[in-house]
Amino acid sequence: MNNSLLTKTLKQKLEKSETDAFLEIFDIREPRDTGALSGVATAIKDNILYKGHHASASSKILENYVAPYSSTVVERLLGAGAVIVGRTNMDEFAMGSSTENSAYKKTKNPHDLTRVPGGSSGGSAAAVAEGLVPLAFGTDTGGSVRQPAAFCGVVGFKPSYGAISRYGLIAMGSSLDQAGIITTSVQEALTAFNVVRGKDVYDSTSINIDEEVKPVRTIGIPRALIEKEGIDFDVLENFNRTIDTLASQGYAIQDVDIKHVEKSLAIYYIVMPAEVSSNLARYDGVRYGFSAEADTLFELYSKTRGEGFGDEVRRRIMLGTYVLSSGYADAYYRKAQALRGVIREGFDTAFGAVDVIATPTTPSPAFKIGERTSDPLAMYLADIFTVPASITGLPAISIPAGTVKREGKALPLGLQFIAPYKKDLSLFTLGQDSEKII
Amino acid sequence: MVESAFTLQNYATISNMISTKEVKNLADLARLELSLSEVERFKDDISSILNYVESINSIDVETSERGTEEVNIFREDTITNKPFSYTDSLLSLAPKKEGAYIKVQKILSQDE
Repeated sequence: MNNSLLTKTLKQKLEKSETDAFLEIFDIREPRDTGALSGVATAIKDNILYKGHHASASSKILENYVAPYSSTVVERLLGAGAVIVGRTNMDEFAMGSSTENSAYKKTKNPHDLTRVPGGSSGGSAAAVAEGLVPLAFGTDTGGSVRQPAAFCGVVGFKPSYGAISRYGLIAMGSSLDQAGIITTSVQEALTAFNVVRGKDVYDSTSINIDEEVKPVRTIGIPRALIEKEGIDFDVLENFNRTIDTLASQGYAIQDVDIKHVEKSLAIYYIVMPAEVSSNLARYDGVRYGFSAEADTLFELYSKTRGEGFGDEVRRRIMLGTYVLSSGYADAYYRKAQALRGVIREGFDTAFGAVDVIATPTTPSPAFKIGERTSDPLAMYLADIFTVPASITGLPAISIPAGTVKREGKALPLGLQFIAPYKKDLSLFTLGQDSEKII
Repeated sequence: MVESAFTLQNYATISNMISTKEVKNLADLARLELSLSEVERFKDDISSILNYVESINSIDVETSERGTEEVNIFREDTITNKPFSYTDSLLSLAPKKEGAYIKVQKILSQDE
């Protein structure tokens, strides 16, 4: 598709769009190169830097920030011929599970406009689900790509920690953050992953994953995690039916017990805020971003940050400050870090018996706009099944798998597969096969 | 409509884990200006979250941190861009500047 046609088609689609997925549509340029993504209209989440373009992380504090350099993700996309068409709405600094924490607008779920698209990459998921773009990038710290993908009925993939460079991503929790991919099919996600993955000199934590693909025969089900925490009855039923279908097609199904995995969300809500409080110290009103009028340096900092950050961001910064403070750091932060290791060992042991692990991506379908905004914990629990792969750095994919009815509307659900570290590619072969079966 | 099976009452009703004074102190440490009503709201929120994460303390584990498997990644310390090639684009982002400098508030006040 040539460029003017791409612009025209996108504009026509945007006029009919009802989801408010985008914060801005860029002036579309000719593809810089040709490659695996030649001419593919690609959306990026508002926390991924693209030189010369605004990137605000949906925060007031970065309202006028223009990226002085491009992220490695963007560089590799452009190098493969992709056309980056705009930036998508998100929860402020990627903190949230509904995209309601954006300082700019509310994005809606294309399957029911009174419901959230999930988050924090809600704009990216809604844009793909509504057919505005075939490919969107998000970031996933505790489920922020997989959960909105599940809520919107599309594919969401989070790689092994390090498989995609974090250079040029606005940091939230650096030991957890990963760029992720949202598409309508597993094949498209793989094509995009092959373009952006691999070591990068600008990110010393980046890695090369294993190229060898081991066929998946045995799927493990962590029953204790799925059935112990609250899960909507029909979501569990739908999951069990999906697993039965996979079994009928020749996959061996086996229950697995991963020690302490049910503590993952608690661990996550210690480690992540700790890293948030440290990472977001950089927003000081001095070098870039919003700057409040103030008489003293202390006032400049506290007014800038008090006014520039929204509720959820301030809540997590204070929580992080608390768990890192002297006297509490051992009880909270160090303990949580140690438990991360224990859970990773639990996964490694389970992977001795099974090739992948399956869970529902979320315990419920998309919830109503406004339903959980007054209760932070209720919001956090939307990530109960996605957080385990995040704190262990394991690759995971969510594929559409069935629907449940709410108020007469069929709402999509996701099936999540988690693979061993660096075995990302096996998720795509399994995912493609599952797409055909379920 | 199917109701979510989550029961949060156990966490949500306990709000005595952290005091108003502690919240104010945290906000100061983190350089966040809060209004009085925000202090009260965040006190309840943070208390219920702390009460939830507290559950990890029931597990006995040796405290040894474990991070990424990759350690000590080194590279040559070389200059990868021409001098001053980013100066203008970075300076243009600064809220206050004077010439080629970013302007900051006075750090030491007279009585210090």
